Amino acid sequence: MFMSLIYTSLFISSIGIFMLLSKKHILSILIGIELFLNGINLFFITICKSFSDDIANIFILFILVITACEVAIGLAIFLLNQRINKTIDINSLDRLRDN
Amino acid sequence: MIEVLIYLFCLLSIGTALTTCLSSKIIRSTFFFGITLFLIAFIFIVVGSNLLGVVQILLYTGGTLILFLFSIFLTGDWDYNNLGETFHKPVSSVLIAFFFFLTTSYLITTSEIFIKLEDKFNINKIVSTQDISVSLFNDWIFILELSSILLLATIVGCLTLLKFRKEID
Amino acid sequence: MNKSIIILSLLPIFITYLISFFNFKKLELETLNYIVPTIIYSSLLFILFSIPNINSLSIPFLTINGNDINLIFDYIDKNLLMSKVVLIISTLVLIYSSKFIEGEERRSHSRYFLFLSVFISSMFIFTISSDLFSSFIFWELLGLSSYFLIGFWNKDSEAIKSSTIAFWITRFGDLFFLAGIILIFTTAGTLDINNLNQIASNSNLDIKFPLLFIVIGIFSKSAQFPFNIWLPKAMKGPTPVSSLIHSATMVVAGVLLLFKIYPLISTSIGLLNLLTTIGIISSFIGAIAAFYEEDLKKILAYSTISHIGLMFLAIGISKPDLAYFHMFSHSFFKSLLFLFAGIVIMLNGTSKLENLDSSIKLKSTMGAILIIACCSLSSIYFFTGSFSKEYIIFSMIDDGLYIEGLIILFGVIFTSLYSAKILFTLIDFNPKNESLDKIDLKFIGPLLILAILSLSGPLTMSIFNKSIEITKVPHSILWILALQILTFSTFYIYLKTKDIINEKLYNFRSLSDSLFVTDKIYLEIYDKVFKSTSIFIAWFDRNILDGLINFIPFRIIYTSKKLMGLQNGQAKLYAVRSIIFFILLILLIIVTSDELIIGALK
Repeated sequence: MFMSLIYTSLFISSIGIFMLLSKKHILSILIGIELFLNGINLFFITICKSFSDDIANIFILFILVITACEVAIGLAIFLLNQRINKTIDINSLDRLRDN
Repeated sequence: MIEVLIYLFCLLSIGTALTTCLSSKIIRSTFFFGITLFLIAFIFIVVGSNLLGVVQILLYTGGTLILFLFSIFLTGDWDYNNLGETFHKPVSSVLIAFFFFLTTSYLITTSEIFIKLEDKFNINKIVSTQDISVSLFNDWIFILELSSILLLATIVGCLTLLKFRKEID
Repeated sequence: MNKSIIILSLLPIFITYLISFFNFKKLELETLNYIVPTIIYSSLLFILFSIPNINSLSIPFLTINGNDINLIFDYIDKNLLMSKVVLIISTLVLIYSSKFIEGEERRSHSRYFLFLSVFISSMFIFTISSDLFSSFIFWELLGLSSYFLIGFWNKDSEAIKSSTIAFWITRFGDLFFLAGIILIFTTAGTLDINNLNQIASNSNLDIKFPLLFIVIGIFSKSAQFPFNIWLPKAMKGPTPVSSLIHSATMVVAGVLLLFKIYPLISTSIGLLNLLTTIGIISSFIGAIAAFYEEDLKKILAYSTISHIGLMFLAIGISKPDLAYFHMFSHSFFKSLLFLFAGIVIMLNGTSKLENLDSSIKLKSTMGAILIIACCSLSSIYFFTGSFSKEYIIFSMIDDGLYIEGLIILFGVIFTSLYSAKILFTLIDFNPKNESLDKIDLKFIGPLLILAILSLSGPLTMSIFNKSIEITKVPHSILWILALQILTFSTFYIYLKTKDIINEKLYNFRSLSDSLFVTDKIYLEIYDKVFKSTSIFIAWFDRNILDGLINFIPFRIIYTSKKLMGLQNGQAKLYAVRSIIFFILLILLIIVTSDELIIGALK
C-alpha cells in the first residue's frame, strides 16, 4: 500500500515532467507543472502518514498556495503573449535569444 | 477494503494522467486533468486527511481548472489534428522523465529510512481540523504569513499585468 | 664629482630621445637636436680640462663565488687624454652634422642625433673605464650605434646590407671578447685592469687563450686582415659618421684597450707576434687596396685599415706608447680628411675620383686644408702624421726586424702614392678658373681647427708628452732624411707620370682584388647563411608566434559564440536542463552515500 502509493506519486510526477518538457501548447506545459506538483503532494501525504504529527497538512497547504499563485501569473502571461504573438506555441517566447 | 480502494484510485489516477498527456485536443487534456485532481483528492480522503482532500477539490479543481478552461476559451486555437503535432522532441523528454522516475524510485525503495517508514505506515488516524489549525497557528505561523504575502504579491502582479492590456495593441 | 661626470655624459641620450617625441613643425625647434648635445659635451670637455684630480669610481655589480665584478671608472691622465680627443672631435663633428643634416627630412634628425649621442657617450665612458666588464658593455654599445648610423639612409638597400654586415662581423668579434672575459674571470678571479696587471707580472696564470680571444674581438672591431670587409662597406653611411666612428674613435677603441692591458699581453710572446703579423699584413694590403680604389671615401677607409695596422704593429714590438701616440695623431688628420671629403662630395654630388677631377682651387682655404691633410697622411716631416709613424718604423729597424721593415717601407711608398692620388686629382692647378662658392662656417670651422691640429707635429707631441712619457726611440737625421726623400720622390714621380703609372699599375689590379679573398667568403656567408636565417626567423615570427597569439582570441570568440547558442531564450530548454541536473544530483547522492547503498544491499 505504501509502496504502491509512492510509485503512483512518482509516476504522476514523471508524467508531469514529460508534459512539461515535450508539449508545444503553453497550457499543456502549465498542466504538466500542476500534475507534477500534485504528484509531489501525494508523495508527501504518504510519507507523513508514517509519523505521528500532522505535518503533512502544513506542507501541502503551502505547496498549494505556491501552485495557485504560479498558475495565476502563468496564465496571465500566457494570455498577454497570445495577444501579442497571436500564437500559443512555446517557441514564441524567445526574446532572450542572442544569436 | 481500504487497500483495494487505494489500489483502484492509484490505477485510475495513473490512467487519467496518461490520458491528459496523450490526447491531441487541449480540452480533453484539461478535463482529464480535472479528473486526475479529483482522484488524487479521493486518495487523500481515503488515507485520512479529509481537510486536504476537500481543499484540493475546492481550490484545485474549482479554481485552477476553471482558470485553465477560461484561458482556453479566450485564446481559441483548440485542437490539433494528430497527436504528433502536440509534441516537440518527445523522445528525449521520455528519456528524461523515465530517468527521473527510475532514480527517485530507486533512491526511495532501497534506502533504510523508507523501509522503516513503510513499517510505520498507518492510516487509521483521521486528522481533525482542530488539530491542523492548532499546529498551524502555534508552530507554523511563519509559513502562514509567508503564504499570505505571496498571495498578496500574486494579486498585485496580476493586476499589473492586466494594466498593460490597452497599451500593447 | 666622478658620478656626476658619468651622468652628465649619459644625459644627451635621454634628452635627444625626449626631443624625438615632439613634433617640430609647429615649434621650429629642431636646432635643439644638435645644440643640446654640443653644449653638454663641450661642458664635459671643459670640466675635464679644468679639474685636476678626480677620484676613481667603483660601482659594485655582481659577486660570484666570492669574486667581485665592479664597474670601475678611472680618471687618470692616460685615459683622459683619449677622452679629450674623443670629445673634441665629437663636438666638431656635431657642429659639422648640424649643417650636414639639413638636407634630410625632419623626422630623421632626432634619430641621427640620438644615435650619435649614444655613440659619443659610450665612447667617452669606454675611454675612462678601467675594468673589462664595463669596457665590454660600452664596446657593444659602440657597435650598436654604429649599426644604426651606417644604416641611416634606410631606404637604400645597399646601406642596410652594409650596416648588417658591419654589425654581424663586429658581433662575431664580441662573442670572442665575451668568451675571453669569462675565461679571465674564471682563471684570475677579477676583471679589474689594475689588479690584472699586477697579477700578470708575478704569477704564472695561463691566460693566453682568453687574451687571444680578446685580441680576435679587437681585430674584428678594428677591421684588420680577416675581418676587413665591413669598413669599406661602412662608407655608405653619412660622412660625419665615418669621420667620427670609422676613423678616429671606434676602430681604435681596441688599441686603447690593448694599451691599458699591455702588461697582461706582454707575458705572451705568441700574442705579440700575432699582433705584429696581422698589423703588417693589414697595413700592407690596406695601402695597396687604397691605391687601386676609385671611390674617395673607400680610399680613406683602406687608409684607416693601414694606419691601424701600424698601431697594432707598434704594440706587437712592445712599444704601446708609440701606438697610443699614433692613434692620437691619426685621429686628427683622418677625421679632417673625412670631413673634407664630405664637403667635396656634397658640392659635386658624387664620390668617384674621376668625376671629382680638379674641383678644389689651389689658392683657396679648402686647397690649403687639403694640402695639410695629405701631407699629414703621407707623413711628411713636421706634420702630425710624421712623428708617430717615423718612431714606429725606426723602433722596428732598431729591434732588428728588417724584413718587416722592408714590407712597411713598401707600404710607405703606396701610402704616398694614394695620398698623391687624392691630392693631385682634387686640386685644380689652373689659377684662372673661378673659385668655389663660399662654404658655410659650420663646415669650415671644424676643418680649420682640425687642420691646425694636424699641421704642427711638435704641438701634438708636446700635448701628448704631458700625459704619457714616450720611450726614447733612437733616430738619426740620416734615417729621417731617407724616409722623407722616399716620400717626396714618390709624390714627384706621381705628379709627372700620372697617366703612365695609372696605366701600368692598372694591370695588377686583379692582384689586389685577390688579396682580399676573405671578402668574397664573407659576402657568400652573408647571402647564404644570414639571409636565409633571417627569412626563416621572420616566417616563424609572422606565422607561428603571431598565429599562436591570434589563435587564442579566435578560439575564445568561437567558444563564446557556441556558448551563446546555449541560451536561446526558451524557458522550456532551461526547464529541461534544471530537471536533468536534479536527476543527476540524485544520482550523485545515491552513488556517494554509503548508507543508501548499504541499505540497498541489506
